[in-house]
Amino acid sequence: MNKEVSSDRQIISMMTLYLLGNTLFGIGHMAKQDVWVSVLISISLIAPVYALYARIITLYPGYYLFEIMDEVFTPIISRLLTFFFSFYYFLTAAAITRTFSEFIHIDALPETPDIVSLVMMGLVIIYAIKNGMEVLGRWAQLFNYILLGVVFAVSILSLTNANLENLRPLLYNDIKPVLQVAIQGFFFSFGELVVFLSAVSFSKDRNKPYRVYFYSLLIGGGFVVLVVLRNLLVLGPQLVEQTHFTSYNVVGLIRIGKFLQRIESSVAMVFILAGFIKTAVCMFAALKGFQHIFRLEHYRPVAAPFGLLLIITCRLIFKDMMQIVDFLNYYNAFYSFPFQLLLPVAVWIAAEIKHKKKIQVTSATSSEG
Amino acid sequence: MNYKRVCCLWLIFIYLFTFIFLSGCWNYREIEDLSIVTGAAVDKEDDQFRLTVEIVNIEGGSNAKVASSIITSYGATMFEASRNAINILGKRLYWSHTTLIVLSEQIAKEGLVPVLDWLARDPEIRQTLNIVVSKEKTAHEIFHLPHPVFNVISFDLDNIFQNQGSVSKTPDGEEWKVLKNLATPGLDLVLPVALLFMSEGQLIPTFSGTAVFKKDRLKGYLSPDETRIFMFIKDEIKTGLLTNNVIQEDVPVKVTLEIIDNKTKMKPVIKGENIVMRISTITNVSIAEIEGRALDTGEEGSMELAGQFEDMLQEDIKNLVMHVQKEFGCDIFGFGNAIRMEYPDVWKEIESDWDRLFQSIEVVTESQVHIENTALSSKPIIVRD
Repeated sequence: MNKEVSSDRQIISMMTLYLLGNTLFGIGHMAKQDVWVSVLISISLIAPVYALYARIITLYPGYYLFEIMDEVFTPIISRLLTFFFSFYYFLTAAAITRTFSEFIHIDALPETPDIVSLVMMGLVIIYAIKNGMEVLGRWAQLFNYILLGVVFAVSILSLTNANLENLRPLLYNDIKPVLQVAIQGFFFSFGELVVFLSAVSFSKDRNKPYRVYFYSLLIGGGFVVLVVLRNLLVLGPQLVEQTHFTSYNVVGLIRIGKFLQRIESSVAMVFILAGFIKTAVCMFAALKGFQHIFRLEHYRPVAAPFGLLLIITCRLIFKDMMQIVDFLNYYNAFYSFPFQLLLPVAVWIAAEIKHKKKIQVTSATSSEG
Repeated sequence: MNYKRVCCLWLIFIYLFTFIFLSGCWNYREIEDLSIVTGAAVDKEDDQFRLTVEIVNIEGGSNAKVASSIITSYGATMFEASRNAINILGKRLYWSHTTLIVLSEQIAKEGLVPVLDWLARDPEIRQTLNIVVSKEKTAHEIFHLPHPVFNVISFDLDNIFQNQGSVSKTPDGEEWKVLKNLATPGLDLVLPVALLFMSEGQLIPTFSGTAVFKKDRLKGYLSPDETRIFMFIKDEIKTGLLTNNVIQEDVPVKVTLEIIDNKTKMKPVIKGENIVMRISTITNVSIAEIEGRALDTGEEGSMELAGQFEDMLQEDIKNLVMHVQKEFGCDIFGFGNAIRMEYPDVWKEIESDWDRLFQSIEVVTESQVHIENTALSSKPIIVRD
């Protein structure tokens, strides 16, 4: 199987953008003014999981997750799991695409038929995955600076509308909803980085998986906290609850003199570009899985059909906007749990055992020799 | 070479693709095809909304001039009224540049929600527009007269809000803040008031004072001077003036101070069963005007002067709170919210009973006025006998 190597910095850029893209949606309203606490808790909860992901890669450097599963499980189980993983990635990609097409449809181009913006996005995604992870990585590295810069700048400008009192009183509604939202944030956003196990091959000498995952968590998580805090500080918990695309509303309020106003399209740009990289990475991982199941030479021939399938699927999986919100709020955690936590843990345990045996065997043979 | 040919074909393909498919918006609209709404007045006439909008007429040419005209349409809901305007104008109303929505007194009394929901929901409308209540009989009067100075009434009324900092006699009415106020527990809404004012024999629209709400229903009004004190309590004073009659040797002398900055702290204190609100203000001022002679503005004199202003502020704050408690019973100062921040547990207990409790809450005031300078004059004007 052909390998494409990305540099650490490229992977970090992709992961950061991936995390940033999820802040389009304001979910976690149950926690009211304590959402930022929830995010901090999810970050601390996800840290050991990232360590686990990184450990799996360190045990099998240069392998994709599917290949690792081949190594540690029996072929049938491995293929079955690969199928499930692929399916999960593909559906995630479809969900993301759908969310962003809804966003475009509601906020920017209400009279343009959905299918037009979807086809446009689909074509770009097909083009991106055909070019492979390396191109996507380089793209991400460039745009990382721009997008993080934009988010940072509009956050600073939003400070004119901010009011610290919006965060008080701390933990007014008990700790339970805060933890609930922390779990939500764990699965929707942070846990989704599992996709990089299947999309990127970490080479032994060029990549440091621990470093990659933790830098991404630091930068991406930092920006998620920044955005959540900004939205709370400006709108307050009550209004955040009333909006779908909170960041878009918040930045629309910026009005500094007569000159600096109406800059919310910058946010739309950030989200659409971040959404693009999310979809592309997920699609790439799904295709890698497909390629692996059928032992194809290359995934490229099926990229375009899968891209078209994505456009159709994303119209089918959700009925409307309300369903997306409901799904993210209530069902996503259960749906993602096996793929983000259960299976990686299983793979890790199996890999550790295999690895130990291998060391024993090699040490035994070397002592004999 | 094959590689070159592929590249060429791709370039041609991309060129044709973008040329054909990406040449402009899907629903492309010329600026001439839009009626840009700058402001609107909403009245209710027998169960129908009467929407009076001010739209700008844009004329091209070298001496382009911006002027506005007024049209009226009706509808069962706000949005329907807005769309019904097509039957009059032949164009759709475009709301992105709206800066002002004037509501009639009747709508304010019946509740704001029917009007507010569309304003909050529609993506075309910007949440930074100002919502005001008309004190006149109808809301559309505000727009109906030719203005002696301005071409586009709404834009220039919006300027009044932008420059309110140096007057501080009208509260903020930005839509998102209105929505936030409505949703905040322990805080009742206030909106600016628009009215017609006689100037040079002609009625012109202006803002003056505050409309006080309970939930989303109008309860009454505060005068401009009361509004300034209200802004003191809410810590929304930026700059502005303080005027007082200072007693100098038994003769009242009018003194005006210009506020440089002000900081108000509102802190609930629990004393046994009672909750006392402690409102402390620290105001830095400079002497702006003294309409009298022989007022000592030296170190000691200005201290005494400041003392008299401190007394006045404390008295005014107490009176306003009492007035609001007795007259309206609406917690426009956000006392409940302050308690919720400071004593969340207490608030959980009293929240359901807050309407009644608010009316009996006691206020302690503490004001400090620092006179920083006396502007250019070191003494009042000297008139020798």
